[in-house]
Amino acid sequence: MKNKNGGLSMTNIATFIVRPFQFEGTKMHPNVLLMCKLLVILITAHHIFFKISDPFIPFISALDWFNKYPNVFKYSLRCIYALSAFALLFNIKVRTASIVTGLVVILNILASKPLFFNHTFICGCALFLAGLTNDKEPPYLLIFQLSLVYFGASINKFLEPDWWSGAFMHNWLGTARENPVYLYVSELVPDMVMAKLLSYIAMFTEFAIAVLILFKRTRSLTLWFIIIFHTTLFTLTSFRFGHFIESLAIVLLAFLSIPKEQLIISYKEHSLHKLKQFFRFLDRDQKQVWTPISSKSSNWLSLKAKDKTLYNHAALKDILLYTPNFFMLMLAIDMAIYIVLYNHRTALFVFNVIFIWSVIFYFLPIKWFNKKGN
Amino acid sequence: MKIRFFIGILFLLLQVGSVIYARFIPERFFCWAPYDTHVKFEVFVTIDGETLSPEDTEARYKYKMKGWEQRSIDNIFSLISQYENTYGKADHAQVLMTYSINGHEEQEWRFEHD
Repeated sequence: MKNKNGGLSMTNIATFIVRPFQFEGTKMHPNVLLMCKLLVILITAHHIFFKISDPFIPFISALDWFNKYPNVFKYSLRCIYALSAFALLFNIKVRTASIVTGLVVILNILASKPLFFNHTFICGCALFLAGLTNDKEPPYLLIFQLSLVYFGASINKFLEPDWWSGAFMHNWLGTARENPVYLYVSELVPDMVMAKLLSYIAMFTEFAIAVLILFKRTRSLTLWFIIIFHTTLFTLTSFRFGHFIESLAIVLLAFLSIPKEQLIISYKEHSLHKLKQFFRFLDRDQKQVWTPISSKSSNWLSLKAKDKTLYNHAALKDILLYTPNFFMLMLAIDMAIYIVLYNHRTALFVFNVIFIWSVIFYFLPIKWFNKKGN
Repeated sequence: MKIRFFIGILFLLLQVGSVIYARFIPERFFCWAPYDTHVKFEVFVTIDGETLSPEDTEARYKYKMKGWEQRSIDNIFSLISQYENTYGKADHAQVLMTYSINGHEEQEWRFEHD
C-alpha cells in the first residue's frame, strides 16, 4: 500500500477497502469464499465476538485450567477471531483464515456448554471445512457436511416415538407456538392426523435430502427441496430457529457454480442503462462485460457464459446468481429490515414471507413467463 | 490437497461418531438433533434454605432456566450437574426442575449433594 516515497497511496487504500466485495483470485472458489464471508458477517452480527468468553461449564474439563488466568482465554480467542475474520473479509490467506475462524467458533462452544447451539456449530463446521477445500475441485467436504446435518436430524427424529405419534409436533405448533394455521387445520381433520402428517413429511424430507444431496444428478433438485422445506417451515412457524435458516441458506452458496471466465452480457441500452449501472456497481471483480445491442433486437438481455447463451429473464437470473455482491446485498437488506421492523414482528414476518417466496418463485427453474418475455 | 481433504473427512467422521455415540447416552450434543423434543421446564435453586429468583438462577448457569427447550432436557441436566459438581460445589445447592416432554405428564428432576 506504500507508494514510491513510502507513503500510503489513496489508490491502494481504495483498492484494499473494496476487497471484502471481491471474490476472485484466491485459493477458494469464489462462491465458497462468498459463503465464508457471509457466515462471518452473520455470526458477527449475532454477537459471536462478545459471546467469546472464558470457559464456563466446558465440554472438555481441561479447559477449566484457563480459569486460573482470568480473561486470557477470552481475549486471546477474541483477538484471533478478529484477526482471522479481518483476513477472511479482506482476502488475506483466505483458507487459513477460514479454518482459524471456524476453529475459534468451535472451541468457544467446547469451552462453554451454555453456548452450544446447532446454528452456531454449523457455521463453525462450514468455515472450518471451507478452509480445507481448494479452487480446483468441487467442495465435497461441504456437501458431506450438509448431508450429515440432515442425516443426523432425520435419524434422531426416526428414533423418537413422539415424532411418530405426532406428540412432538402437536406440542410444538399447537401448545408452545399456538400456531393459528396448525390449530385451524387440525380441527378439520381427525385427532393428531395433521401433527402426524407434518412429522412424517419433516422426517422423510430430511432423510431424502441427506441421501439425494450426495449424488450429482439429484443435487440441484435437492437444493430446491432444502430451500422450499425451510421456507415452508418459516412460513408455518414464523421462526428462524436461531439463525439456522440463514446459515443453511448461506451454506447452499457452496453449491453455486460461478463461471471462471468473463460474463459477456448484451443489453438494450435505452431501457436497461440503470440495470447495467447497478450490476457494474456490484461487480467488484470486473467479470462482467456489458455491450449494447440494437433496440430492434427481439431480446432485451443476453448472457454468454460457460459455452451457452441465455436470454432475457433466464440471463438475468444467472447474472444475479453469478454476482456475489448480490448476495451480500440480500443479507444487508435482510439485516436492515430486521433492525427497522424489530418492534413490528408481524410486519417483519409478512414482509419476509412475501420477499422470500417472491425470490423463490422467480428463481425456480420453471418458465413462468411467455415466450416473448422469456 | 490430500492432507487437507483427509483432515476434513476425519472431522466429519468425528461428527458421525457423535451421532452414533448420542444413541447410547441421554444428552444430545454435537449430533445434529435440534427440535427432537420440545420441553416445558422450570428450575428452582435453593441455597441455605433460600430459593433464588429466576434472574439469579439464569445468571448462575448462564442459560435460560424457564420456558421451552427445543433439545433434549438431559442437556440441561448435564449443564446443571456439572456446574453444581464444580464451580457451585461449595454452595451445596438443591436444584429442582419440573418439566414436561412433548406435552406429556409433568416430571421432576432433582440435584442434591451427597
